[in-house]
Amino acid sequence: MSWVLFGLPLLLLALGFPVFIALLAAAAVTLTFFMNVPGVAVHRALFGSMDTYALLAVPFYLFAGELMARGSMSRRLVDWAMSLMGGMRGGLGLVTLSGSTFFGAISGSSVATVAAIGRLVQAPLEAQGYDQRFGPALVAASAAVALLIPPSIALILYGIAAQQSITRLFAAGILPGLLMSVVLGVYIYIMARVKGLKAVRPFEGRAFVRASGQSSLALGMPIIILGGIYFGVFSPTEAAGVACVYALVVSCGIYRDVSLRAAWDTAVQSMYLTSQILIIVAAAGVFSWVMTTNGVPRMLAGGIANLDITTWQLLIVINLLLLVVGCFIDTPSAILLLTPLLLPIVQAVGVDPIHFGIIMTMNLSIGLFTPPFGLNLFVTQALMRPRPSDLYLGVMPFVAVSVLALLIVTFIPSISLALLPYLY
Amino acid sequence: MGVTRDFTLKGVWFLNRVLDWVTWPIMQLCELVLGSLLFAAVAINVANVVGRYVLGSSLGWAEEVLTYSMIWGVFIGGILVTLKNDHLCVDLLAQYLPPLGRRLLDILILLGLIGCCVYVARQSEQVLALFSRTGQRSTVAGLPMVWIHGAIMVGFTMMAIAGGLRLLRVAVDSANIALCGQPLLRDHAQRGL
Repeated sequence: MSWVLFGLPLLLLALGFPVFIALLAAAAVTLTFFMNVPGVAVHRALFGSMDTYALLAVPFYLFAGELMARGSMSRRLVDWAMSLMGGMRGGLGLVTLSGSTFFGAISGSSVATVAAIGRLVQAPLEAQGYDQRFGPALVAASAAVALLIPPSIALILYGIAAQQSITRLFAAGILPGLLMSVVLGVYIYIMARVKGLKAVRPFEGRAFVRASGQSSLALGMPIIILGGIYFGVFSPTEAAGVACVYALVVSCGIYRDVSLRAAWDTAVQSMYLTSQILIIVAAAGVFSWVMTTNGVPRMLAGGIANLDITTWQLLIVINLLLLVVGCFIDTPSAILLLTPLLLPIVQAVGVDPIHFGIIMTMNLSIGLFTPPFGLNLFVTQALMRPRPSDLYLGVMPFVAVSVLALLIVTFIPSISLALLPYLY
Repeated sequence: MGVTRDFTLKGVWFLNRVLDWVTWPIMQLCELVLGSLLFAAVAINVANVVGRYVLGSSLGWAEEVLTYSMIWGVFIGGILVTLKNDHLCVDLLAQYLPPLGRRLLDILILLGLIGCCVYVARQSEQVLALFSRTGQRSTVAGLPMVWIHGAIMVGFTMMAIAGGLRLLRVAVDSANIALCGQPLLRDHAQRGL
């Protein structure tokens, strides 16, 4: 039976079958030929995995993020970051990074961040002498931070798959996300010195105040959303709904740079993307139920315990596995496929499930800009048109420094867990 | 020989147009439902928050209705995604195949998709028959469970039909490639977050 549960999905995935079909087929074959359970259990498990209020946050955050990317909110954030950091050596690189971090804090999507910020900084990066190797790689790597900085769709999916509090996961993502930003920022600053890149313009207090005023509505969004969640005003799902209304009012009503027609198209597109992701959630629920019923997670955990492997050795192995998986499989599929398998194993050696969610998301965020199949690389390539070889070579140092941040977060759990006691 | 080839080519183009006429209204209807569902869900969600803090009473049925409408939205979106052949997958193998080989692989994948969808729809039918007999309703909103759980049967049945339409399109495309070496369809483009 184990060859069906492990081999069949891998074979179907390799052939290019949709992820949800690979999971459903494995579950259906196991149920029909190896288990004495009626097939109607498939319906129950499918429905049960979708019958979760928290999942509604996925279309809401996708909608809010896409809406802000279409309007001028992303440009205002970049202008604000420029007024703050443009005076530093390599300031434009740091502006790209901080713009991506802030945009990630309001959109929850890494690809939306590449598209929104990359579009804005492309011409200034070229004008400032950022070469074809450094500039596009900088955009692709910076946007990956969005996966960790709350609100994060990846963390919502992990919360559903691992049955963990999404509010706690959001709080746990803040410090690792900021650490990754700082590590990338230090690398950008060093490279700017090595390459002799100049500051964009000297810092001016008046320009900063003006830019802050112009971007106050965009900057206010993470404060309202995350503040509302952490102070217990609303749940993460309600916060996502508030984010949609906020983005609609600001983009269509106040800034007037998104038409109602464009808002409608964005709504349809968000639901379309939601279907692509949540149909895998449904199928993963069936697959996970079949595995649990057959005692697979317990067997895996027992097998690892018998290997007499230390916690840090196990975490290194899992980090390597996740880094490789992140290069080939999209983030939602990877989280939904691997969480039910890996979580019991790490819990057996005493790793906190919230901490593990951050480790997993951080690995997959690095996978987003790791050659050859990182999704951010494809978006950057479509947007900025660098030669693939330049982009791949340029991005490797970013991968190396991000792995350094990953190791720090992996082996110092308090970075992920430090803010949890302060939740309302 | 040339006349027969031209005639067959015209037939291929005609079939392709017929498939456009059949799929277009389905796609438009799906888009209308998806957009309306999202706006309605946002409105109910925010009304619930406002009601709790401003009027002192929240909408008790909101969570149930929102969750169930999202389930319907996912499966209706699934029909659209199937028609566009845009489900998330790892399409590495297809990149190394010639156009005709790619279409044959597409046919294999679509047959697998149709088989799986029919299997789930048949299991779902039995659950719906049970709900229909018992007349069970949801706890808070009092909605008939047969309507709610119907999303899975309707979704998977329609996805099987959408897969069938896509299969016809791929077959027509394969004929076009065999005749003039040019595909009519764009290749699957992987999307994600």
